[in-house]
Amino acid sequence: MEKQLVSQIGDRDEDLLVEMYRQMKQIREFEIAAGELVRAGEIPGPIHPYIGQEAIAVGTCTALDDEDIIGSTHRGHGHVLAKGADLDGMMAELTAREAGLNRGRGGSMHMVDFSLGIFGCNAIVGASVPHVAGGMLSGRIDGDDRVGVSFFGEGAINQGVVHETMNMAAIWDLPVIFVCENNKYAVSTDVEYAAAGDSLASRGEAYGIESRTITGQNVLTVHETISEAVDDARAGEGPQFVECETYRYKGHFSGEEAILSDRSYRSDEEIRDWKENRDPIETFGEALVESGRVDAETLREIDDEIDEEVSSAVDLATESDLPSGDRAPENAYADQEYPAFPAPKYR
Amino acid sequence: MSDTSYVGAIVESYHEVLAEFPEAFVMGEDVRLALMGTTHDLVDEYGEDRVVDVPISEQGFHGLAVGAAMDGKRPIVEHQINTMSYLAMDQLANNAQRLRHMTDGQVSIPITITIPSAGAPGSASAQHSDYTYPVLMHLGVKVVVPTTPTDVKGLLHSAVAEDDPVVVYWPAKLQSTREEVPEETPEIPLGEADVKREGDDVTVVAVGETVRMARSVADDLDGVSVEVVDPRTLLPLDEQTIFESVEKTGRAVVVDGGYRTCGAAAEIASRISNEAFWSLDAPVKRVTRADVPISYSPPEEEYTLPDEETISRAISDVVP
Ligand SMILES: Cc1ncc(C[n+]2csc(CCOP(=O)(O)OP(=O)(O)O)c2C)c(N)n1
Repeated sequence: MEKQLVSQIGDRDEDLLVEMYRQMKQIREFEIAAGELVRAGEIPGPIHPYIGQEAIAVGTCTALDDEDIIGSTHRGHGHVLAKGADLDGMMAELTAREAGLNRGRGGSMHMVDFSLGIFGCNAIVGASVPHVAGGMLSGRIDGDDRVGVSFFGEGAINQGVVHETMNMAAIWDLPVIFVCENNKYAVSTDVEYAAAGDSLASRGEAYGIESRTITGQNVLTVHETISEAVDDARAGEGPQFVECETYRYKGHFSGEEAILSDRSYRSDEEIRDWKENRDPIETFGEALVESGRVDAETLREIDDEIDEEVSSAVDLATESDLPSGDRAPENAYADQEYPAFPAPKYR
Repeated sequence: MSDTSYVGAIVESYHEVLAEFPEAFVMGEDVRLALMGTTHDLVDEYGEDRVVDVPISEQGFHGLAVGAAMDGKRPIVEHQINTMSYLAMDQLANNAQRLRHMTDGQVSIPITITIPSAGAPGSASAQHSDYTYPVLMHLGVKVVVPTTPTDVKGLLHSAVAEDDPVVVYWPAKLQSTREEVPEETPEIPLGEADVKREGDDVTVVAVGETVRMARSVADDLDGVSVEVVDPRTLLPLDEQTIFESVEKTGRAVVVDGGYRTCGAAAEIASRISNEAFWSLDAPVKRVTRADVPISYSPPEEEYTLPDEETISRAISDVVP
């Protein structure tokens, strides 16, 4: 992959190359720090680490404009960060602080930032897919040229709502890019077992949607493919489907090791193979240096900057205030003109 | 007798019902690996045809369960997360629940659905923290909430034996609790409440994990003698046991971890007010979850959920 990466690097814009490296590294370090916060008991809910899949979020979001929108999943930290969400706000959201993106209301699985076109992580598999298409339906009414990317795992490909959405996006030529991150397992369930047919891309083809399968470990391949899909969608050619083959290094969620310590659903060799031979950040960093476009010193400086950024986010996330409990009824009902609602727990 | 945890009782119970009912089978996400800790060794014993891992297709596999039931099977559908029943609602409400009536009894739909509830151990956020049973009760779906390992064994057995759809909730906050369970699975029919603690001054009807809270409040209260009634089955509801208790005590507090409006506690309180009115010395009080989605934020979650302090306040409000 590294050799291929070197030739893909070619004479690409150096700022973009460096930015891709920086973003992937930032996601990785964010995830590592979040894992440590879980172990330290600072994160009250579960998290689903994105480690190993960084090239997809970064390759995709660097192909988008600021106004474009994304919809994400339970494994959403990478998508949200790559679309530009505030790192401090994300970390503080994980620790349920006032300073969090949702003021501690949402946690890992519900991070949003509508000002950045982030329609949100969602804890129901497949549920954000129609939201992105709905954003595009709205965009059509306004006559704008935004595109929407819907990120979802391969497990979501078996949700009816994903199929209903692909169909509507196709009949109405909505500019939705369906990005299916195939990391092979939905919790323990292997995609080979759970999804019929030759390929996941054939699911998109069934609706007449332009569909392809690419490696999700090469950030440039992702970027190139999504850029083309974005151009086509923006030009009115309708939805696009991109399956990215990838792998999650960690367990399904932060509690997995504790509950599944005596039984596993994938081999150590398989995990090692992906980590050692196809790591999206390492291979890209090495290729950057080998191509002569970016020197090792620059990368090291970026690494150091990210370390600092992440550790200061951790400080903020652990030292700032927890919101008080009695604001729970706020926003429970869109406007609070009705005094009897929301009903309290005792009266 | 053997010392058994709540989850251990579920595991044993699944093994027993698969052995006893050849037409029963289990389906759910990651059940072969026993992700939820409830289906250990089930696939080794009963094979892959009777322990079925399903894709993430909730509406679809609930529909398959309905079809298998029409063909004479007793499907047991296990959920990973409480709110997944919302995704399956069409198959539960429009199909499973009404096919027997709609076909004039030509089919019955003996499906058991098990649902971990309601979101503990905390901070599972708004989309993973509900008790969904009020919706099902409203629709006429049978609902069971066992609160002890012994109740788990007796009630899961009765649920599987039932010829209608039955939804069984496993309160997450009780799953690590233990007790001595009889070797022989106890017979606990659906619709039979249990007086979990005897008392004379006030009846606390409590559901799910709030049974444990109510018992502990009762133990700590000086000078007030509290009777704790656990309905165990919310539909059909054992009114008789509840009314008898209220007739004895003259006061009632209904406690439930679900939302307040149109909740299980609303239904129970209304029946007490209607039928045991002349025994009441004070209005019936309800302690429930507040009508707001559950927040990730621990202080907000705590603010929203019923707790011992609120139960205790409700008791002192009805007992002079
Ligand atoms: C509709 C629905 N069903 C089940 C779950 C429980 N669950 C959460 S994540 C997950 C696996 C998702 O797999 P996939 O879509 O491949 O994404 P990945 O976790 O691999 O990123 C399951 C079964 C859920 N949250 N929503």
